[in-house]
Amino acid sequence: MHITNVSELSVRTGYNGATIMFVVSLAIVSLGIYLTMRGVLKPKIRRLAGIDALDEMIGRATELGRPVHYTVGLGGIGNEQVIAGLSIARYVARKCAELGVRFLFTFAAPSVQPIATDLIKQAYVEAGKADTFNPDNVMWLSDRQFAFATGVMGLCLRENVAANMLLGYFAAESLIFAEAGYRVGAMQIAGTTNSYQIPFFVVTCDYTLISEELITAGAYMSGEPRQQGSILGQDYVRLIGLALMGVGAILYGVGIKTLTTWLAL
Amino acid sequence: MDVRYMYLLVMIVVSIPLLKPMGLPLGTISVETTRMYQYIDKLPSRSIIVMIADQSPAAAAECQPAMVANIQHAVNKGHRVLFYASRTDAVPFIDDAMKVVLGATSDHPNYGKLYVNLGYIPEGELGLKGLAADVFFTGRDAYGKDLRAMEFFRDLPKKDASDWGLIIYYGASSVDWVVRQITDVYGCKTAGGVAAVLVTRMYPYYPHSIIGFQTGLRGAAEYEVLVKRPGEAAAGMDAQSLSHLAIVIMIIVGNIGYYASRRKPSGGG
Amino acid sequence: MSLVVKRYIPHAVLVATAFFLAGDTLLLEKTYNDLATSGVKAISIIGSFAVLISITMLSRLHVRRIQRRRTVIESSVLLVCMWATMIWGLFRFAVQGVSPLKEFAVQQVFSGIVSPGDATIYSILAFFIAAAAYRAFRARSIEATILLGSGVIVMLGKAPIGEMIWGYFPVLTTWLTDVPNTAGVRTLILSGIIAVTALYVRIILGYERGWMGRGD
Repeated sequence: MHITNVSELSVRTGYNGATIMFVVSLAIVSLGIYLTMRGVLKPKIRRLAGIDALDEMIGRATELGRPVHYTVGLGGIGNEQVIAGLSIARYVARKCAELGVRFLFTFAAPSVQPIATDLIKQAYVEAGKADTFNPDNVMWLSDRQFAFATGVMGLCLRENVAANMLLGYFAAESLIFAEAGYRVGAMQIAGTTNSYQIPFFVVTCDYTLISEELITAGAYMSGEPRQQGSILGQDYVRLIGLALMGVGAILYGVGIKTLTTWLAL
Repeated sequence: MDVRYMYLLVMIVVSIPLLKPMGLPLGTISVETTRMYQYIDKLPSRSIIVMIADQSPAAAAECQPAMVANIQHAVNKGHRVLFYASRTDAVPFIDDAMKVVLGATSDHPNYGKLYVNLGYIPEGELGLKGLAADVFFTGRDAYGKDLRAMEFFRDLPKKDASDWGLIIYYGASSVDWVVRQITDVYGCKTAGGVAAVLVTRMYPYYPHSIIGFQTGLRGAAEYEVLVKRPGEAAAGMDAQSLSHLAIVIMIIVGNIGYYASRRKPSGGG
Repeated sequence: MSLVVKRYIPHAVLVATAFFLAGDTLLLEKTYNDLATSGVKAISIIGSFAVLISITMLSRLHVRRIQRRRTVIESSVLLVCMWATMIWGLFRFAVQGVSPLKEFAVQQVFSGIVSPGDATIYSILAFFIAAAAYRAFRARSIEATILLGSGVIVMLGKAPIGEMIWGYFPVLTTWLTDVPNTAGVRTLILSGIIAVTALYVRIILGYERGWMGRGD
């Protein structure tokens, strides 16, 4: 099958800079992972208060004898926030299984169901408590935004959860989840990359993972070199971006538009 | 303070102006709304304006009046309008808006010439990417009519998003994907009639990629004033004013109480 | 199921699709771009079947509830009524060619039940925001005072009554949204995108397998 004429292949107009950054970003993150796995680089990751508090939240739930609620929000399995939320959920599910705390997992997109069930079951198996896994605790409530919100609200109030973990993709219903958790006196952690929902979480939750902290939380928690290497790689990409912004702003300010023009080609 | 008293106060403050309008003046029209109005006003006649309906029934209270006002403006200027919905529950809102402004949907004499409704296109950003690459992406419109037979598409040189004059997003989720797939690739500018909560997300792209936008109900009310078609948005401004004022007063009272309780000496033992 | 089917094939499909579609965004060549557009159409069609998955899961949930004879079955009864409306709408479209947009029963379910229900729950946010603002906006520290002050200014600046109280509220609001807010949101967007890039590199390299149902 003829996919492309290589001789006629060219970069889209205005995408020179984007193509270079795409290739450079992939290369630097991959290099960061490779060098960390080889032991050449040993990144030190700053502490994320919210992630460090997960154990405290689960411990509190154990003492109170109340369940832990975890939701990845509205997104489907293709949403990066849901993927990040699932990687943290696995850790939380394992801890809950070890301590005998009921773990309630809710989600809105049906595509998450098989992945979440498999992931949480695996967490229970790793904790040596496969017999205590109850698939009814992995709940699909609705794929409609506010029907899902009322379902979660009702669940938090009925089950009197001790910990409310909102880590995933949230839109306007975020405050409904947070208020429901507050009403039952739950300790709350929330995280999303939707910048316009972060203020709601900051004012209502005990801990908030802001934007990239959610995405990197899974890597942070695993402690594995290849995961931490990717965090190091993304920091170097960020440094390059900052340098480009700074240099570009200064050059543009003094009237030299070469860099800006070239990147926009 | 018991939270139920707060709920009662908010309910009273929102209800009274809806039942008995106070007629507070709208005030200065914002620069963002004005820029959007001027951009549409200056587009050449018969320019194509694409309207993405992404509002849920919840966000429709803020976005629907904006959509109606924008359609009215497009009708006044003789522009072509291409509608599509990026979520299933936004599909009826396109019909509702068309009925309010045009009085009809597919039965309108200019349907197929000046107005086309593509209905629901799934997969959000990917769906828009497909539509931008090929305007006949869906093949048929929301009512089953063949797009290639319509006069609307006959004189388009490239049959992709570079033929469009403007794309307007209505909703409360995010607008990045529209800028990414349309403005960055094809150069067609983006505008918005968005819920107020999304507005902070619009500013990073304003004014270069997003030429202007209507901020929630207030923005919709401003646009209604500009097109001289007061509607639901203008009617809701009194309630918005009083509710904002009530929340600010509650915050101030809360802080006074907080500092008063801090200053009170603790009881002796 | 063997490892090849459960892990390697999905991974290969993901990597191929990711680079193929990324190439379509960055590169220009007619055959390639046309092929990518066809691929996007295919994904769109598959995506619309997700609606069927929702219907199936919802139905299964409620059938199980009815089988277990749960006491609260009003929502299940309502669902059965909505099934009937949906089947009627499908019948009218398939046999009589009446679009669901013009079918009275379907439109009444949407405008009479679904739409007001969604709007009602959204409107609860007005009360929750008032309660959260009352609780959280306390001048406990410098940062909290700045948050409080900017919140009050923006709330009054965006409402017509604010301009009546003091003419500079809208001016200050415009500055707050144009300058500090834009700077902050740009930072969040950029850092989020870079973190997502790193996540996708981990997925492409096979180090992040949560999306397949098995963690690392």
